[in-house]
Amino acid sequence: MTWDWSYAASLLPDLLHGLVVTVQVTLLASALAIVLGIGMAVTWHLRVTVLSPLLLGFARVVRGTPLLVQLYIIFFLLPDVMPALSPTTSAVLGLGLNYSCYMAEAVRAGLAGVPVGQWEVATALNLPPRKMWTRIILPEMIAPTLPVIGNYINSMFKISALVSAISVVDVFNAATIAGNSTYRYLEPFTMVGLLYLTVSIPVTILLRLAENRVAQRQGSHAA
Amino acid sequence: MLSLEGLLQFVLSGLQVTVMITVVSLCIALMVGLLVGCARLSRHLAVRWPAVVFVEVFRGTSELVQLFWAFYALPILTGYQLSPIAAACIVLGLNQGSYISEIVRSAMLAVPRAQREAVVALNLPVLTAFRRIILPQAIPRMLPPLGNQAIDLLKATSIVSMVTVADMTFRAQQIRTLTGQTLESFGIILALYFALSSIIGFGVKLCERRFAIGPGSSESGRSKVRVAA
Amino acid sequence: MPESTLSRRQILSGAASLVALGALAACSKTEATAASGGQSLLDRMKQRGYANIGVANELPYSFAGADGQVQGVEPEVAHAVLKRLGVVQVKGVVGTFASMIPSLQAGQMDMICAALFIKESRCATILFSEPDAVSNDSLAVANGNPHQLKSIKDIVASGVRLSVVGGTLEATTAETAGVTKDRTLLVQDNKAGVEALTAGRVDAYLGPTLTIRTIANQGGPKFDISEPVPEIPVTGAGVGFRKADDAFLKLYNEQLKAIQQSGEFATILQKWGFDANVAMNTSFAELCKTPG
Repeated sequence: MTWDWSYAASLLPDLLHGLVVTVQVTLLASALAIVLGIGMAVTWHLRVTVLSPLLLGFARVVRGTPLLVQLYIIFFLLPDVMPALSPTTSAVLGLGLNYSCYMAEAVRAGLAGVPVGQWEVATALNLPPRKMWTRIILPEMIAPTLPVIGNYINSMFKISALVSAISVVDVFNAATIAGNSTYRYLEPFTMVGLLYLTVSIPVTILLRLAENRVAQRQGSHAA
Repeated sequence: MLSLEGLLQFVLSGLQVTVMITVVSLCIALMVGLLVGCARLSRHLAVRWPAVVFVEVFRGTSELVQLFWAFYALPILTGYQLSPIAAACIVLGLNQGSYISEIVRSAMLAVPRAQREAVVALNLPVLTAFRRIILPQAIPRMLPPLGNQAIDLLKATSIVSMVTVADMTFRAQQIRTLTGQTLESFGIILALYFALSSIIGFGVKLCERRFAIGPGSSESGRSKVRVAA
Repeated sequence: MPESTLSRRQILSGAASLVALGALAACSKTEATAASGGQSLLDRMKQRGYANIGVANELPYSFAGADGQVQGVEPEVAHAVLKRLGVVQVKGVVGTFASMIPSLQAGQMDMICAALFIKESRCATILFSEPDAVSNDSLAVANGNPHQLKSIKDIVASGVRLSVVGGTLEATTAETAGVTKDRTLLVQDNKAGVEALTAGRVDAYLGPTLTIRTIANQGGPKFDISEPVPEIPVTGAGVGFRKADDAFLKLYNEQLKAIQQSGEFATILQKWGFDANVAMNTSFAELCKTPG
């Protein structure tokens, strides 16, 4: 069997539609992961009783088990205890929760990187806690944390193909569906691979530039 | 309905497959990572560029896409097919190998320049120098990220359930469709996956202690993290 | 120090030998697809000692039981036929419905025994045996059938949501009947289809009547089953083969006829709740006209 260009081209509209879904799921899940991750890291930082160790255990389990299994649990088991979420919502929740546990580590490392002097300044100025966090600590840690978070988002984009297993019609599922109706799978699976590359390569390059910039900045800081 | 014993028996047959695939693909990944990582440091463009392309292609696409491509598209293109388990091990090995090559590369780059120059000055054969001087200094740096990568690999093996390989996730899915004991089966495999990744984490800690010798060890880096936490 | 050098080397050489072992195992299992080998399918299966048959997790059509044994109406019919042809054992390759035809074409299995329904587009792609499990499709709906759904037409008219398994006859029939994409939930297996209904994600699930009944008997949340839908008057499953294996198909059909005459066929069908007479009175040729 050989490559059929016209068939490959005819797949593009459906695949691009799927790609939009993939990007949407990735971005929504990233937002969720960042918010939850920051929450988790701050909880750890403040050593909140009960909640802190509980979240630590939760993060450990999530990081030690496969995303696919977590997605299945959210999709198949959660409806037993609460109203069912749509496949897309389940996907965002699963992907977001999973990555929040990684984001939390990144934020924790960022917090740890804030120079002791900054905390002291905040205390010396007698800033209320909210101002201290939003004006001093968060701005200080954003630059070094950003590339790490960017890398996580990039990897979420690729792993999000798993959401096809819970009926989300993402770019990968779109390829499978196209194959199912024509019984030709070479073109859809190859095209979907190329689509992932067309997004992830520019993103990777941008992230690398950002990383270098942060590294330079930190270098000048130290000097 | 399956009894608890029946459930366990069913899931444990999947556990064997999960462990087997993890071990074999990790070996492939380590070899590939070492080779590609070194190739990326080569002075020759003809060696460096294929390595760069390999890494970008495998890191730039989804593992699931790579697996399906190897499973469904490759046989159509070439006329030869791999058994599902072999396809799974090779794809996971190559994919994780591309990530490991980055770990290898940065660890090699971190070996002090003087050491590399000394190797040249002593006129040591390339392989001996690599094995005796460079690698032992790079390994302590590589171990912590390699441990994370090994756990990532373990978790990634669950996707083989989507191409007819009867691993743990596959077994849990089977129980779900056959008897509807979704909570029990997924609960068991979740615990088993967690146990496996904890074992890997523990093993890496032991290795770290063993390899933490000589200059350039990660001792200083680690203590920094500990203070911060 | 020397101790640790030694163990390091041991670890490395151990890793290397493991890789070699893995590669060896992979190669030995590599088999030429039908396209590249001149050997017939029957010879290859006899030589290997078993047939690789594709099954899905779909009671009572085809599934792999807790003991790993392949079960269900179509695998058992196929096994009976294969025994007569000298292939004593069967091994199941379990996958989703959608994965069956690509897996067959990629050489991952010798034949499909996942009870794929014979229909026009599939007949153009692969070969089928004469039908073995002939039945019909119904809707699984919420208790009391609040939307009064009795057919696919009703689904389209009332604008409700429907779940179907991806890559199936039901999926294409629903699509051509006018159930729009945004109101269709494509799931991986029948159980997930019914669960989508009981979880409230959809208002109906369209699938094989006997499968829906089996799921209802497993316990779990209750739901209603409609009468067979008029749009799919008959569903007939047959064993699927690659186009290149037409010589084997002939042998298979001959022996299928033989077990139908001996009564063995009827025993297997009855065991799984199917009617042997209905199957024997339906022909592959007419099922091939099923649109979709």
